Amino acid sequence: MTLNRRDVTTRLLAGMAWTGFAGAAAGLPRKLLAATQQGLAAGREVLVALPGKVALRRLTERPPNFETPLEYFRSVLTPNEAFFVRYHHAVIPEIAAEDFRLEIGGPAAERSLSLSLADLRRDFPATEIVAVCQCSGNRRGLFEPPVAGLQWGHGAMGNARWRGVRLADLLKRAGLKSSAVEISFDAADAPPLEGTPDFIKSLPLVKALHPDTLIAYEMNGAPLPVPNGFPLRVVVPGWTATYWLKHVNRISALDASEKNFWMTSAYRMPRQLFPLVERFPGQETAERAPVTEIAVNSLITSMERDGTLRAGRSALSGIAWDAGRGIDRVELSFDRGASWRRCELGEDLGPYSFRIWRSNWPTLAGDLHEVWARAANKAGQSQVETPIANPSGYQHNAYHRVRVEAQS
Amino acid sequence: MRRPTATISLLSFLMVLALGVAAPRVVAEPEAAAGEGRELFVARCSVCHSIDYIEMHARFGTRTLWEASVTKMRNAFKAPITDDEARQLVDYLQRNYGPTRAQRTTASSSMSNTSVAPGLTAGGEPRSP
Repeated sequence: MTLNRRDVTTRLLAGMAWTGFAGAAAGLPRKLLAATQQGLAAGREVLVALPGKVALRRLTERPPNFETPLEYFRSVLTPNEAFFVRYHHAVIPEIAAEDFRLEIGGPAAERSLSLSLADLRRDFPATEIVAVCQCSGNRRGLFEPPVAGLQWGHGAMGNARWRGVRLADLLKRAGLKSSAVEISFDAADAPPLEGTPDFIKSLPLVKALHPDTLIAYEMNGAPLPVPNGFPLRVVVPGWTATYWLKHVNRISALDASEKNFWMTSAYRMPRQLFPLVERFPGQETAERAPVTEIAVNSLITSMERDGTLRAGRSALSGIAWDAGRGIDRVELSFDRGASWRRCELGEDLGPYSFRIWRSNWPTLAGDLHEVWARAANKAGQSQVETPIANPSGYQHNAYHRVRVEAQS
Repeated sequence: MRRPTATISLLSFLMVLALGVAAPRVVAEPEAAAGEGRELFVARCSVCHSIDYIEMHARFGTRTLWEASVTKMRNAFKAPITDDEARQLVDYLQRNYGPTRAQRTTASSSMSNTSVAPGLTAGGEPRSP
């Protein structure tokens, strides 16, 4: 992006803007409504700081959808205040921690539980895991031809150290009947219209009971920010963010598959397009399968603030990640894929985490036009040269290709 | 979540009607394009979402895309839109949020025309082969 600084304007935007009128009517947290927003507008790029957040790239105001600017991906953990925000529905209620209850039950549960946040912290062992939370549609805006849906760039993702309780421990306390097949999650946010399908998602039993699947109350050592799910969110390491419900307040053990719109119509792809290892068989049809695990991917983060990459100007580095098999290697090409050079990998924070990579700028004969990055994981899965087209624009994991500007 | 009552919906609907039509300048939400069909558009669409959902699709906003969008809003999200209103909405969207308008917008902005998408590295990134 060439950003002409003369066209950058700063706007002060009064409150009420965050989730707008519907949210206001439904009792959005007052401090959010009262907050002043600072926006930076440059052409069609709008950066807006939500309350408690740094300026993020705004896709939509209501419901709020904001992505993380590139510079925050230079650290292996994404700061809470820069973590992307994604909502399906505009009614986001205020939640008082002391009044909050997490209800656990459902037709395939032996008993019902109603837990306060204090109960969760006192009665269940705390556990931590570093994991990437990435929207299924991250990079949708890069598909060509374009695909309808939120036009995300690279920033609908983040990596955090999540702390909470194991979902398996909660389900054990409630007791699962042998008829249990899925665990579903409902949350406190809601659509403005009564008839719009509420956002409810489910997990197959095997993933719900996995010891890495958490109900988290902290990220990066602090309570979850409101727009990232306060007070509780589901953490499903390795799987895309559609399963990571924010403001989760109801967990149900089901004896039949969840059949709402968000499971049977949304977040699905042609069945054989992607080499998924962890699948959701109970939700598959002959033609289509739910999005599940995160595709192996990488990102160059050495671009300057204006988006340009200048040869030799700064270290060449970035991040790579996958669904938890672990990053095996990251390679760069300076000749449009004719040859590849392996990068040095940084600290390993666990298989679900971003992995920093670094490389020196090579001395090359001739002009340097592009740098390409690609990652492969320990299961032998690799990024693809051309994004795999699919109707909803999910799982874009083509090589990251960045044009190099001439020295200046 | 199960919401308390339908009051929320009605209240938010009325507030959108009241404020959306004559939104004060301080509100961050972008405003719908002026012209025939705007009031219906604000009344039916702004209840649930801001207009930037529409703007981000303008660069490829064909009539086919807008028809599919309005159909999805009616069928999947249960937006209360009649057949006749749906036609008016698609007309309005096609007139105001089609690729022609998007190209004009791009041409008049300072954004590099090599952008393949809005986003943090859009202009620095070559097209897919």
